[in-house]
Amino acid sequence: MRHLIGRSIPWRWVIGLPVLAATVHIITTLLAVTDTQASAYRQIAAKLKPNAMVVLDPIAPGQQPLPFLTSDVRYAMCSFSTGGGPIRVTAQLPDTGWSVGVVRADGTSVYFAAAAPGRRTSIVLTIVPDDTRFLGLTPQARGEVVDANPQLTVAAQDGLVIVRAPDKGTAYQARAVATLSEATCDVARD
Amino acid sequence: MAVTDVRPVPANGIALPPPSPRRGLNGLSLAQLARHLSRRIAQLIFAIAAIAAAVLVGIMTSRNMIANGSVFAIDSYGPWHHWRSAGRTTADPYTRAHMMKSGRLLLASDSAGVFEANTDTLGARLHSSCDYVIEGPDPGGIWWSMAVFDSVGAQIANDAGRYAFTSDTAAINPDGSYIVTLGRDARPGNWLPTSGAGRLSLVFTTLDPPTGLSDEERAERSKLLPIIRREGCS
Repeated sequence: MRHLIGRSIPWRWVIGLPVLAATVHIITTLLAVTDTQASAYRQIAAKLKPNAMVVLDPIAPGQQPLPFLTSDVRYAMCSFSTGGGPIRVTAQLPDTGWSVGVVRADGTSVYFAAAAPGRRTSIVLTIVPDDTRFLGLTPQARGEVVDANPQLTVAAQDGLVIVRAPDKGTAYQARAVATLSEATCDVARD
Repeated sequence: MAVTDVRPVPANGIALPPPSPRRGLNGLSLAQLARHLSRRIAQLIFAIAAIAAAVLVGIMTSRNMIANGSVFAIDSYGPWHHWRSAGRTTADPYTRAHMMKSGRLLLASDSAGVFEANTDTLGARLHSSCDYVIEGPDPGGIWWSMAVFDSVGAQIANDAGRYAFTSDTAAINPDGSYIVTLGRDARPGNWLPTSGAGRLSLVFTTLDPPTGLSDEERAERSKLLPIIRREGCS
C-alpha cells in the first residue's frame, strides 16, 4: 500500500473504487426489485384459488400469512389473473375502516377505496389486462349495465384484490365475515 | 603474480562478460527481484482487498437502504418512519425492493399512512423488557390502528389475545386522545402484552378519508403521531 500512495495520490483508485461501489449498489438494488421470491403476492397467491374471493382465517400468532399483517382487520383476498379475460370485482364497504384495494404482483396499488363514515359503499370494479393482448370491450364499453352502482375499470395483469374489514369487537365479527363473504371476484361473463 | 583467465574462449574469440554471482530475470539481482515481486504481490493484495471492499460496500449499503430505508425513500417523524411512495406506481427502486424483499403488504401511501417505530421518542430501541406508554392526540375522526410485533413482524402470542387496538376497539379519552400501553404485566386500559418478544416494532396505520388527502393535509396528519415514552425496564 505504501508503494501505491507513497509518492502521489492514486487517482485511478480514488475514483474507481467509489464508482465500483456505486455500480454494485445500483445492480444489487435493481436485482432486489426483480426478485419476487419473498413478495407478498408470491406468498399469498400460492394459497388462494385463482380468480375467486376467499375470506382468510383470523390472523393469529403462528397463522400469519405475511409479516406485519395485523389481527385488527379481517381479510378477503382474490388472486386474479386477467389472462382469461377481464375480472369483475364487487364488494360492500359498510362503514369506516373498510377498504378495498387492487395491487399488482409487484406490489404497486392500482386501485384503493375506503368507506365513508356511516354510509354503505358499493364497489363494482372491472380489471382488464394492462397490455395490448386485451383487444375486447369491457362490459361497460359494450353498454351493459350490471347494476346501478358506478363502475370503474383498472388495468393489471396479475395481482391481488384485498377487502379489509376492521375489527370492531366480538359482537360485529359475524356480520363482518358475512359481508366479506359477499364480495366476489371472477372472470367477467360476455 | 599474474592471474590467468581460465574462462573458455568461444570460437569467434570474443570473451564472455565476467559472471555475475547472483543474477535473475532481466538482469536484476535476486534481491531486486524479490523486492519487485513483493511490491507486485502487495499491489495485487491491495487491489483485490480494495475491490472486494468496494463490492461489499455496494452490497451492504443497498441491503441496508432496502431494509431500513433512507432519506431518499422514507419520511421520519420522531421515532416513526413512513415509506413515502409505498405502493405507488412512481415508487423509487428502494421502496419497490423493500416491498419485494420484506413480503409486506403495505397500504399505498396515497391512500393511507403506515408508520413504523422501532425506538421510543428518545431514540432507545423498543424492547419487551421495558414498559411503554404511547399517547396520541385526537386524530380527527379518521380510522387508525396500533399494532405491536416482534422484530420480524410476527404477532406476539399472549393469553389475552391482544395484538392491536383500533379507533373502534381502544378506550378513547373524552377529548378524543388515546393512550396505549406496552408491557409484560397486565394493566388497565389499552394494554398490549409484549412478554418475551425481545425487540419490538410498532405499526400505526391511518386510513385516508374517501375524499383523499392533499400533501398539506398529510403533513398535518404526521403531526398527530403519538409519542412513545418508556416508563421503565426490568
